[in-house]
Amino acid sequence: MKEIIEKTLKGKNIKVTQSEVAAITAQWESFQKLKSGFDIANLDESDIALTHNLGSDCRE
Amino acid sequence: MSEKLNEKTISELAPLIKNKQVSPKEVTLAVLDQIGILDNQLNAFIEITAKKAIKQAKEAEAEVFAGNYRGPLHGIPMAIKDNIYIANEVTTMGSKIHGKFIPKESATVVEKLKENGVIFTGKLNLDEYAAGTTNENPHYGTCRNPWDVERTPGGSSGGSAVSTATNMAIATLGTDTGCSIRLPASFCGITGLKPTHGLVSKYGAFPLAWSLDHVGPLTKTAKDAAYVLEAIAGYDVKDPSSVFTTTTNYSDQLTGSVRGLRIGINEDYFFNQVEIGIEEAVKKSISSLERAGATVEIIKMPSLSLVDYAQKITMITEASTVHHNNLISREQDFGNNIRQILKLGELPSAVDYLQAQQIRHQVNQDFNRTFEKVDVLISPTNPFLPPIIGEKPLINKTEVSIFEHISRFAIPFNLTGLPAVSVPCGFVDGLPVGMQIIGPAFKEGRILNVAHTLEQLHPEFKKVPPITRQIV
Repeated sequence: MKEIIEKTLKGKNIKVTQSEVAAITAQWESFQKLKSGFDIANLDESDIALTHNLGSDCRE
Repeated sequence: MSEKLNEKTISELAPLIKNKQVSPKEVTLAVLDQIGILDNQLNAFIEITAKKAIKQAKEAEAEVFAGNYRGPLHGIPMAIKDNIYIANEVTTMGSKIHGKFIPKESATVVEKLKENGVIFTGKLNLDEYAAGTTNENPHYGTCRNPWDVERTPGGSSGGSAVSTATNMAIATLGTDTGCSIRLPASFCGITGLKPTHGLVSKYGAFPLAWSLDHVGPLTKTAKDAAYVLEAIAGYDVKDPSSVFTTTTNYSDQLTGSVRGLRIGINEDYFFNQVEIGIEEAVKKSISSLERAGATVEIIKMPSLSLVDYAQKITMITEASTVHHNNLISREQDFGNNIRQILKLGELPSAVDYLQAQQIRHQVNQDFNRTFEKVDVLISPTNPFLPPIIGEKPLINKTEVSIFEHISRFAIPFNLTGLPAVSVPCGFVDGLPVGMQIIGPAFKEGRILNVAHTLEQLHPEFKKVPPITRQIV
């Protein structure tokens, strides 16, 4: 994962040190763990078009 | 000791100014004196605009004395978080990159406060570009908690909370993308309101993550928050996320009664991994509201388990979009904290971001269903007490990750845009505890009434930090 992250950032012309790569990798991996809850979310039923207008869910 | 003018609330000052018993200049000078006494220890201000403030105060005084009183904010000195534009004044965003940035026009909220006769005393410290939760700013210094200067005041609106809590301002504005009004309000023992997304214009407030950002007041009481909200709320054609809505007199809704109110409690998410003293303080306050006529219902919300992922992906991706060009060309000018966040935000794919928006929609639907059963939700504002600066926070004596935990209870309401207020609900080990009250969209009056009722039931929750009454 570290190598992929380093390659991705450098591919976008973003400078990154080895210590940063380690920290960013750890954070990215912690995000992937949060994603494990996706099993209970039936995303197919969520119409993405409903959310394209930011703030659209807040209505009186 | 008699109360000084800067120690008063908007509700106390407004009739005094209206009736010409106190002049805006006297109030402004009292506030500026307090800044002079305290700010070198707390570092709440990035810039103090004393001369301009005195000039504005004299103008307000002349207007009031000529019989042209504008309303409860007329002649009230306020300070503004330094990511909200004031025309022709340096607005740094707490950054080096924008360190000399002078906007040509003011944010809509600043224009609205001006129309209401507010006096501006300065620009307030924050985390760099508001991307943080501890207000340890690498360019303008660390802001300190007035209850214990070794501890963080919370961020990113740390300067806003500290100046309000210590009477260096009568009220302030902050911004909130993940907890940044409510967390520092909680850590400093004051009231912080994040309004419904779209109710208050964000035009002229520099974005951190535009779909999660909110502007709102930090005040000494719920009633003061209502007064500030009345001034800054309303549709703004300049803000694409602004929502048409009826403007409301929020302060009139503060009846001090919660009889018949249905309070929802979600134990699984909002009372999981919480400092025991905080949990006890919040639950005691809920019991007080029950004794005053409210009822409590335990609710389940399975989608909450997905909130953390969706909020974090949305926040880092939008923030990196805002700063993408500077991250390539001026990488060395960012502080370490935000630099790492921005690099992290370059990693999610378009699919990751859009799935986060789908989750967001599901969470919104879950909350809509919940608010058919209850009138408000109540939770702790944060799971731990203010940590020592530079150290990991503790939950029940166990060290935890600040990044994973600090905004856990606040972020669902950035993701959904629902209104949430943090109000003081007691003290643990001499440090303030905040309770979060959440309502359906545009029901700010309802949540502020619950906060106001708690203040009436427990006046002992409103204290000022001992450092505030320091005499030089």
